[in-house]
Formats: sequence, structure tokens, C-alpha cells
Amino acid sequence: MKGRRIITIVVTFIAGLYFLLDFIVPPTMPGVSFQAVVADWKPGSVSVRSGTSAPILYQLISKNNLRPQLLSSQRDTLGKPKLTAILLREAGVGAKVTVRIGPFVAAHIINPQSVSLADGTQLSLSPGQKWVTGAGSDPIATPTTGQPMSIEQVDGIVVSKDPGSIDFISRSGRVTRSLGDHTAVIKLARNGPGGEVSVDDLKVGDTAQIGPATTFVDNRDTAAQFNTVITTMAFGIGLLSLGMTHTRILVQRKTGWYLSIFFFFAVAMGVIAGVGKYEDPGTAARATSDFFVLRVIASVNSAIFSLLAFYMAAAAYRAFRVKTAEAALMMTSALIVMLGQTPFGSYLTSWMGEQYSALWLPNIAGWILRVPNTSVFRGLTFGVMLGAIATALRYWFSMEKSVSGGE
Amino acid sequence: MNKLLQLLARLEVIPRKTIYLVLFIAAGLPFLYPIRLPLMIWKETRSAFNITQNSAPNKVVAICSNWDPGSQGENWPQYEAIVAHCMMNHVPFIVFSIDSDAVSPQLAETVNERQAKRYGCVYGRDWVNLGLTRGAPLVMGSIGRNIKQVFQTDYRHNSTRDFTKLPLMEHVNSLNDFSCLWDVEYTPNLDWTAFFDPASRVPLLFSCAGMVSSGYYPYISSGQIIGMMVGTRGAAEYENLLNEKYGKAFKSEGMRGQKLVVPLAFGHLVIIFFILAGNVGMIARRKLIANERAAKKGQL
Repeated sequence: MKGRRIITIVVTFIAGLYFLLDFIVPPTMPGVSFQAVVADWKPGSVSVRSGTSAPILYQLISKNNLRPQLLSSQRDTLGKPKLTAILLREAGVGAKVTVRIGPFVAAHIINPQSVSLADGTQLSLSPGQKWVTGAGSDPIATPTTGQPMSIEQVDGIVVSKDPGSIDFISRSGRVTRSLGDHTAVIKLARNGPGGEVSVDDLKVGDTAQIGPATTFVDNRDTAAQFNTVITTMAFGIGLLSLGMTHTRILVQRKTGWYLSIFFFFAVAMGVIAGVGKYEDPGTAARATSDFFVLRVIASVNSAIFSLLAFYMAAAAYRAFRVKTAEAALMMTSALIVMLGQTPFGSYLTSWMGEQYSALWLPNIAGWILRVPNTSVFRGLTFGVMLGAIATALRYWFSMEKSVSGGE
Repeated sequence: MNKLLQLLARLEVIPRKTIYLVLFIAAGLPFLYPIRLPLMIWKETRSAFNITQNSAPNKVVAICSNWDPGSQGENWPQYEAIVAHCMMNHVPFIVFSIDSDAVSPQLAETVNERQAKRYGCVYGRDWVNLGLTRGAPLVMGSIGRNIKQVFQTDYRHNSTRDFTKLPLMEHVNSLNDFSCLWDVEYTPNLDWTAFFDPASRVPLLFSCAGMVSSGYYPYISSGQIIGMMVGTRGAAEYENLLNEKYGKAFKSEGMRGQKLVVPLAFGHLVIIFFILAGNVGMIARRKLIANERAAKKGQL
């Protein structure tokens, strides 16, 4: 029991620490990073070798939209291999990468190893490269005109790389700064695309933050996936736990044992509904799933929630009694907001005409929501958040013993 | 005078069942005898409409559809109005659910397919349903950085990198490809403002229940949320805007916003009536007690 509690405390602390660091650590290392307005840049390049053939040097710059793309092979959730675009920073020397140039459409076939495009650009295969279909890695024996295609060097090894350099304007004039192997270039933009980019994606006049990348930049998505897996597992554990509890009740014939049958019936219904939901509309499996979801689950759920309207009406009737001046103020504003949100608000006051539109009930209701409500809610939120931070800290340091397994 | 006060004092103790019955009749009658009432369009709804209307043609509208059967009274008409707008405006959209009820993607797909039949839209080209994922708020940041990593398959189990089946996904990678993000649910998640795009480059639009809307106005005034559709009233306003913009091209039959807003208004009116009646009853009872005391003092 004590060991389990210690594990819970340690895991909770590490998870909380990661979450905090993930949120506050900037994408580039503070202190050694700098922010500058870009004056010019030299693109990066990479040499990739396949087998015993000589390495091929790729200049990572857009030319007729034929910028070489670095791709890394990963497996998706179904276990199928997939190629994901990576930055030059992520491809270390010795790493296995696929380089793709394209897609393009050949206008003229010079020979099986060379083609020319409509603008006269000539593309030739080097040893280790092959023609592939435009969208993916299906090889093509001979190039054809009019079809989208690409050039790929599959599973090459990075032999060397040059990350390029950036010229920027500083107080002392124009400065050239070479980029390191692990330097991240973050394009800063208030409006429009921003985030980490390749050097050649920068334009003169762009503001960029340049510095060594922190590991959090590369691992944020992994942490998010981990979080997804844990959350999903919690549902599975919940289902197992419920199943075990209800099985025990049924086996021991405890009071109300017959109600546990409904649990298993509901689970079975959920499974039947879930099996067919991925099918195309019009199929029998999908119709069965739609029946359970739309006609059974949705109807039962809606019926339960619709009862709330009746309870709320009765509760409002009993609770809204004007016994003090504050209660009178609250009730007046509640009635205005309630009426203002319905068509009756417009119906009752729009006769005043456009010149007195500020006195229309919907406009008064809107003012209440946008001005007094906003200020009150901000104050309330500050208070609530301070409390939430204190509670979060208690959870993080496992001071809430009920959660970490203590008494 | 006392008889009148005694009569009014009875308003303080109206039986619960009477309230239920009157509410049932008031909310039910407009379904049998439909009537139309004028509706003023709030600026939050107009702002949300304009952002969706002016979506760049090379971008997609992202919709986080987290509504479930419990909130369908308000969220269904809202979601349907957004989908109809995107389809009429020829703006492609992607739908996904995060930490929602397991049936949320299916409900969204039911609406998508219904509207697609009306406007001749095709799955994979005009919209993609990416299904459900869990793990908010971290997963929100991942959606902004690389959506295909979060949703490796769509709702129908096609790979999101299979561009022959899902051509729309070819140019959808990160928040740079989103023209705006709608969150349609009972209480939209404020974590979108901090995790998805902290620099607020992608306009956030919320679609919430009327009851919780007051909590979002501070974020509208700060510019973190650009527009909002509030409850059934917001959906009805949105439908009015669609009608204004597209006229007969907007196929409004079966749309729920206009249909539900009048019964809802009658429901509100009944609640207001009972609140006022309760207070009149309370005042009458107090007056009655005061009169009785005064009468007793007079006797003494």
C-alpha cells in the first residue's frame, strides 16, 4: 500500500512538472536565443547517400516548387508505415531519411532518366533516386507526360548537412549568423502563419526568433498522445471496474441484483451501436447503429435532460423572491436578460423605433451581459482561479492524500 | 380588500404540478400552431457569421462538435446552421470531437449527411469527419501543430493521408490551414484560447447553451473569442442571416432554430409569469399578516 502510494506521488509529480514545463518553456533556449528582422538568408543543404553510390547534395530551397522534402518513416496507430515531413534540424547525421522532390508534371521525356517541365527545367535521376507517383512512394518504371510524379531517394543516410545562415539587422549594422545543427527558427507573426519554419521559408522583413531548440518543442505531440492514451485507458478501466462490480452483485444475488442486468444490456447496446457506426450511410449495419444512437440513446438522454426545464421552472418560482434590495436588483436584471434573449424582447419594445433602439430589451440585455456581467465575471474568475491554482498545487505535491492512496 | 389579498396570497403556493402543466402547454402549443416573432440579431452572432462567410477559399472551417443528445435542443440547430452555411458558401470543413460523449461524431455525421443531400456535397471533398479523440487540453495544441498526427484515420477509418479518398486533407495540416474554429457544445472549452493558438491567429467562435453564455462575454471583450452563437436564439438568428444572404438558395425546411425559438420564448414567458406571481403572492401574504396584526392591536 505504501509502495503504491509512493509510486502515485512520484508519477503525479513528474506528470505535473512536465505539464508545467511544457506550458512555460519557450521553443528556443532563453538567454542564448535572439530575435531579429531578417535581411537575407543562405539556405541549408544536406548530403544523402544510398548504398554504395556517391552522396547526393540537396539544396533546401524552393525552385519551381521543387524544394527537396525530408521525410522520416514512422508507423501510424494501425501499424502501417507512413512518411512524415521533418525539418533539417530533426535529421541528424547518420539518420535514415527519404528525400522527395515534387510532385511535378513532365512536359517532355528526354530519356528514361531525364524529363523537362513546361518551363524548361530539366530533372534527371542520380544514382539512388527513382521516379515515383505524385502523391506517394509507388515506383514508376518510366516517366510519362501529363501525370503527376516525383523523384525519391528512399531510405538514404544523412552524410553531412549545412543548416545555412541568416543575415539580420542589428544596431551595429548587418550581421551574418550561421545556424547550428540544433538551431530552431521560429517565425513570429501576429496575423498569418507562424511557428517553426525552414530558413528558406523566411522572407526579408520577417521577424524571427533564432536559438537552440528546447526538447519540449519536439516532444509536445508525443506528450499529447500519451495523455490521450492514458485518458482512453481510464475509460476502459472504468468499464472493467463496473463490469466486475455488477458481476459480483449478480453472482451474490445482492439486493436489486436484477438492475445489474440492465448494465450489461446497456453495454451490449453500446457495442452494437458502435460496430456499425463507421459504415457508409444506407447500409444495414449503419441503419442498426443509427437506430440505437438516434432513436434509443438520444431519445432517452434527451428525455432525462428535458425534465430539467420543468424542475428549473418550479425552482425559479420558489427561489426568486424579492426580500431585499439586492434580490430586487438581481431579479430585475434576470427578467430583462431572460426577456431580451427571446423574440418577445424585440416584440415588446421595437415599437419605440430605431432612434430609441438603445432602450429595446435585447439591447439592454446585451449591455448587462457585456458590461456589468463581464466585470463581475472577471473578478469572479480571478478568485476562482487562485483557488484552482492552490488546489492544483495540492494535487501536484500529493497533499490531497485521498487521491494518492493515503487515509 | 382582505378577500382580494387572500386570493393573491394563494399565488405564493401554486402547486408544482400546475407549473409543470402550464409550462408543458405553453411550450407545446407553438409546435401545433406555429407563429413567427421578430428577432433582433445580436452582434456576437453577426460577427461569427461574418467570420465564417469570409473564410479564405484555400482554408477549411474547423468544427469541434462535442454536443450530445442531452444538449441537442440547443446545439443541434446551431451545428446544422453552421454546416448549411459552409456547404452553401462552398467552404470545406472538418469536424472532430474531443472528450465528448461517444455518440457525438455520429450525431454530427447525421446532420452533415442530411445537409449534404440538400446542397450536393461529397464526403472527403467538401467535409471530413475525423471522429473522437481524448486528452484535452494537450491534444488541442497538437491539433494546431499537426492535425494528421492526432487523427490518423477519419471517422470511417480512412487514413487521413489517403488523398484519393480524402482529397480535402491534402492541404490540411495545421492551424495555418484553418480559417476559423467553431466549438459547438453545451459549455465550449476555454482551453482553446490558451492551447490551440495562443497568438489568436485563428478566430475562435463558440456555440454554447443559453444558460452558460454569460461566462464567455469577458473573453469576447478581450478578443480571445471573436463570435458566439447563444442557444436556440443564436441558431434562429444565424438562420435569419443565412436567409438574408442566400435567399431561396437556403433550404430552411426542417431547420430547427426558427422552429424551437418560439416554444422556448413561451417557456421563458411562463417562468417569468410564475416568478412575478410568486412575488405578488408573497407581498399579498405580508400585507395580510400586517392587516391581521393591525386588527389585533385595534381589538386590544
